Amino acid sequence: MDIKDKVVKVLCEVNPRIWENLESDLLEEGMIDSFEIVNIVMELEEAFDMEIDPEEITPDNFKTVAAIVDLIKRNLQ
Amino acid sequence: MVTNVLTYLEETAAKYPDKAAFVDSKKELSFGEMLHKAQAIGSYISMNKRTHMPVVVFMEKSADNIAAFMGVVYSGNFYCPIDTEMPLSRIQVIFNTLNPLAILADKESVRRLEGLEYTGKIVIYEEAVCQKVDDDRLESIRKQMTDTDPVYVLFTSGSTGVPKGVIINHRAVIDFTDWMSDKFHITSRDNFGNQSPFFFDLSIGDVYCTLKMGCTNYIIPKSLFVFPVKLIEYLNEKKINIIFWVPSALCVVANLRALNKIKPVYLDRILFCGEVMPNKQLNVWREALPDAMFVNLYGPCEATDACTYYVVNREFADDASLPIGFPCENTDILVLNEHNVLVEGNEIGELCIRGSGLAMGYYNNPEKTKEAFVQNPLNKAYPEIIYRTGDLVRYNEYGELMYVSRKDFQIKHMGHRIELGEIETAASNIKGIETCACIYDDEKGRIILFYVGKKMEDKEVKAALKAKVPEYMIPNLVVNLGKLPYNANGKIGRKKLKEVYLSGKIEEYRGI
Repeated sequence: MDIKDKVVKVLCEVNPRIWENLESDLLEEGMIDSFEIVNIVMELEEAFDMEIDPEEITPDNFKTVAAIVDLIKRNLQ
Repeated sequence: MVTNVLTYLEETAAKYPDKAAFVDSKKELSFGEMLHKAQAIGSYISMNKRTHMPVVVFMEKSADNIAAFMGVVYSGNFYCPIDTEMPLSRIQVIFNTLNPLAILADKESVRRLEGLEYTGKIVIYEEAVCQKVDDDRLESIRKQMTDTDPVYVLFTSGSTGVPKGVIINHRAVIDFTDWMSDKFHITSRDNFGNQSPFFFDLSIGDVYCTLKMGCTNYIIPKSLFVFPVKLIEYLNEKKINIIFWVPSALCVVANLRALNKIKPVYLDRILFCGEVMPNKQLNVWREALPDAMFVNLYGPCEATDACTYYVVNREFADDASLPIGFPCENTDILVLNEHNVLVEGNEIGELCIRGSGLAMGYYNNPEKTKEAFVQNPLNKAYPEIIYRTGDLVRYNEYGELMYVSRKDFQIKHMGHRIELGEIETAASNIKGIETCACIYDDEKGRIILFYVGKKMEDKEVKAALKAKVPEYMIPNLVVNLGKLPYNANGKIGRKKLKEVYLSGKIEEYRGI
């Protein structure tokens, strides 16, 4: 499974509605609220066996699925 | 003698006319501007000549929102804030109970009311604030007001699904505000960071302390609560030194380890209320801000904002429960057992409240009012109302009140009396479990634990629980969910959880 598929799987497990918003602005669409962000970060950290720096938990990095994929890729390097 | 909340605004506006009172992401209102707008709105609404009626305030969360509340009070009526995100069907149910004199809405929000069955007056905020102030009329209205007149009605979810409108009068708001501002030494130099929605009772403390003491209240954009480092940067930028938040908001900051990166340097008083604050997350905060004061408050909407408080003053293990402490001043707490007698020792009983901070009852709902606002069973000599919270508590060895659970969470399972809250507390301390909630399937006699966090085998969770609770309290079913449902106030929606479970749709809820 490539990184993007894995990210999508994690996101949709936390909020199934993200499946319909793979191309949209997740924040504008209200797909990630303050409860979901905790679960998303935890699940991503577990799925990719890494830690996300709290300073990287920003609107820019979580705006879209693509932005989250980029964040993971940067961290995996 | 202060007998009307408007006196707070008037006295503060006279002292600090140009100081920023409420600041949102788009604009700020000074005390002087707020006073003028409120009087203009009051003059506009009072042209109708009716008083002592509910006026719905339907506005985006903003500084103007507070001016709207005060404007309604100037008109001799009381306000009822309604969440602009609320589904129309629920608004309709509230309107059927409330039958408001008018709706006060901003231009933007009023569009969301299309389709509502309502034939009354709609006042547009932007127009009402342009009204010329009619001092004579406002004064004559004011002369007829007493501190037993309502200030607002807040709707809370009723267990039967029909929301109940809690009526709070001037006396109660003043009683709470005076206590809170004295107790926590609030002055005009303080900057509040508001988290709570204005349709939620938790906001009463920071809104009215701001009006009374002349603080500045920054209405924190909701989106910031998703990004804790940004949130703390905001607190620092605005020099916010006091917050009164729901525990979930503090937990997000702790869980995402934001305090390792940046500290809220001005914050010296952290108050929280509305649900149980877990020590696991509180300890992260205490470690980051060792000199700050942390206060756990407790209270239902029916007691204005809070009726007990506990200033955190000793160490707590991550899996210990935090006390809800002692009654606020001018409040008396009676803990009554099932025979309506005061509990002894560490016996569990229902927390009942007595004092000026009590609500007057539920609007247009004598049946529900009668159930919860009852004659003090310890007093047979004269009429005296207490409010039965439905919350079970006990005293600990320090004489502090400890929250146990909701009365309706108390179940009878295999002959044992069980508090579901106790299972939740135990489960939430298992490594890997972030949040959890328990429900009881009465028909099948099963305890079901839902949790968010690391996926674990059922038996792994059960084994961890065995170390903490008796065998008969081990859940029969353990379900890992992507998320728990929350209601509009940010509390876990257990009723919703039970509905989803009973409808057999839990698999769908689990995600893919």
